[in-house]
Amino acid sequence: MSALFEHGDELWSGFVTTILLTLCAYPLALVLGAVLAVCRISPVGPLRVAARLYVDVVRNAPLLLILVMIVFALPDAGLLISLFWSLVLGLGCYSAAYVCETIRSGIRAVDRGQVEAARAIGLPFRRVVTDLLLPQALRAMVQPLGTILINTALGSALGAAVGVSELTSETRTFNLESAEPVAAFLTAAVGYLAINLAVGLGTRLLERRVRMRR
Amino acid sequence: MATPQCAAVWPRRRLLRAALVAAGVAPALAACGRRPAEVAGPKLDYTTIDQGPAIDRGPVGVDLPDTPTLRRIRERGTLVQSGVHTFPGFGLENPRTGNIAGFDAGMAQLLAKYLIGRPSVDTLVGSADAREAMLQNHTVDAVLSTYTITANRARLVNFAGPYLVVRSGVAVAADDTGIRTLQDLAGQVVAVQPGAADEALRKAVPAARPVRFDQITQCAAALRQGRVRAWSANTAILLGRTAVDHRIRATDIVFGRSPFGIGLPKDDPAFKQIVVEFLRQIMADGTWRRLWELTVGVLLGGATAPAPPELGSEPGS
Repeated sequence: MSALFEHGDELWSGFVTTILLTLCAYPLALVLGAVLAVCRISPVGPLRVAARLYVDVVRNAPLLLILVMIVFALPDAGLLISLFWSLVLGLGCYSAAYVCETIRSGIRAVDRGQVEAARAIGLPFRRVVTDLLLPQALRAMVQPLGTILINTALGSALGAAVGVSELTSETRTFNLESAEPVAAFLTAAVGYLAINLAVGLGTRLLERRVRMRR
Repeated sequence: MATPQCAAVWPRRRLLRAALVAAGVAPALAACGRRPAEVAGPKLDYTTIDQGPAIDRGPVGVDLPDTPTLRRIRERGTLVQSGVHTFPGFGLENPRTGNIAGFDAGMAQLLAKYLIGRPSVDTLVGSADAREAMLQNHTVDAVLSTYTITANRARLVNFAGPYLVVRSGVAVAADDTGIRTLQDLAGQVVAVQPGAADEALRKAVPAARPVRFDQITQCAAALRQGRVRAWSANTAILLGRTAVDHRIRATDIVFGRSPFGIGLPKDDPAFKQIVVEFLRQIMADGTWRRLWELTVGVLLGGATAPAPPELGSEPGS
C-alpha cells in the first residue's frame, strides 16, 4: 500500500489528464455530432450522404485504429499534432458519430405533425431545427448523451497505447514498478468509477430538470 | 416517423456498407501499412530468425523431482507461458506460420523440451501488466517475456536467472547530432516502451521526459516523425530497427542494465530449482550460445555470443 502513496503524484496527474481529455473531447463530439445530425436530416442531398458516410465509416472502425491513424499516419501526411490533442481529436471524432445518431433519433422522436405544422405556417428549416426540433429532442437525449460521455471517458484509456500519460498509462507504470497489479488496477477502477458516477448523477439531475410535463 | 422507411431501404444500406468497406477503408488501411523505406530496403534480417537448430540440440531433463507445477505441465503436455510476440529478436510472431521466433521464445521451447521431452509451448501474449497475477493464480507456468528481475517483483514471484542481461541504448533521427551523451537527454522527450526501458531511462536520466508507446514500430515512427527527440530501448532492438530504417540511427550511448529472468510461481520453490538447473545445463553445453547467435546475434549482424550471465547474481534471483 505504501507504494501507492509514493506514486500518488503520478496517479493523480494521470487522473487529471483523463478528466482533461474527456472535457476537451466531449464538447468537440457534441458540436461535430450536432452538425452531422443536422446534415443527416437536412433537405440537401450531398450533405445527407456525406454525414451518413462519416457515421458509417467512423462508427464501424475500432477506436484504437482511429487513434493510431491520427497519431502515426497524420504526421506522415505532414500534420504533426501533439499527442494530447491527437487523442482529443480521435476521441471527439469517434464519439461524434454516436452523438449524431443520438441527436437524429431524438429528433425523429418529435411528432412529425409538429414539423408539418411549422412548415405550413412558413417557418424556414433553420428555425424548425432551433425552435421546434432541438428543444424537444434534447430532453429525450439526456441519458444517451450521458452514456456517450461515459464512453468517451473510458475510451480515453486507449491513450495508454499511444503515449498519453493518462490514468491507465500511469497505472501500468505503477504496476510495472511495484508489481502490485490488484492495488494498481483497483485504483484505476476507482478513478474511472468516480468520473462516471459523477456523470451519471449529473445526467439524472439534468433529466429531472428538463423533464416535460405532458 | 422514419421507421417504415428504414425497413424498406435496409438491403440498400447493407450494400452501401459493403461498398464503403471496399472503397474507403481498404485503401486507407493499405496506405497506413505502407513504409517506403522498408519496401525498398534489403531483406529484413529479423524476419528470417529461426531458433530451430538450437532447440534441436537442447537437453532433456532426467529424474526431475515431482513438483505441483511440473505435474500440471506434464498432465497438460504443454508449457503455458506468458511471452512476447512483437519484439524482433526476442519473440516475433510469424503471421504466416503462427510460430514465434526469437530468444525468449526459444528459451520457452528449450524449457518445455527439458521438462516434458518436446518443445510444446502455449504462449499467452499482451499481458505484461498481469504477469505477477498470472503466475500467482497459475494461469501460466512461467513468464519468459523480457521480464526484468527486480526486488519488488521478487516479493511476488520466483526468478530463475538472469538468463540474459541487456543494456539500454539511444536512437535519434539520422540527421540529429545534438545528442552525444546520456545527459543530453535531460529535458528531452524520449520514446520508450513500458517496462525495462522506461525504468532504466528514468533511473539514469530523471530529467528526461519519457513518452510510452506500446510497440517498437510506434517508437520508431514517433522518432522518425519528430514527435520525440530520441528513443531508448535495449541495444538489440535499436540495432535491429535502425538497420531497416535509415531515417533513424543508433548512437554510441549505452547505459543501465536489465537482467532478464524466468518468472515462476512463488509457491513452488522446488520448480525454481529445476529451472535453474535447466539454465545451468544449456549455458554449460553451448545451447544458450547457439540460441543467442541464431536470434539476438542475427539482429546484431552476426555477432558472436557473449559469456552467459552468472546465475543467481541478481538480487531477487
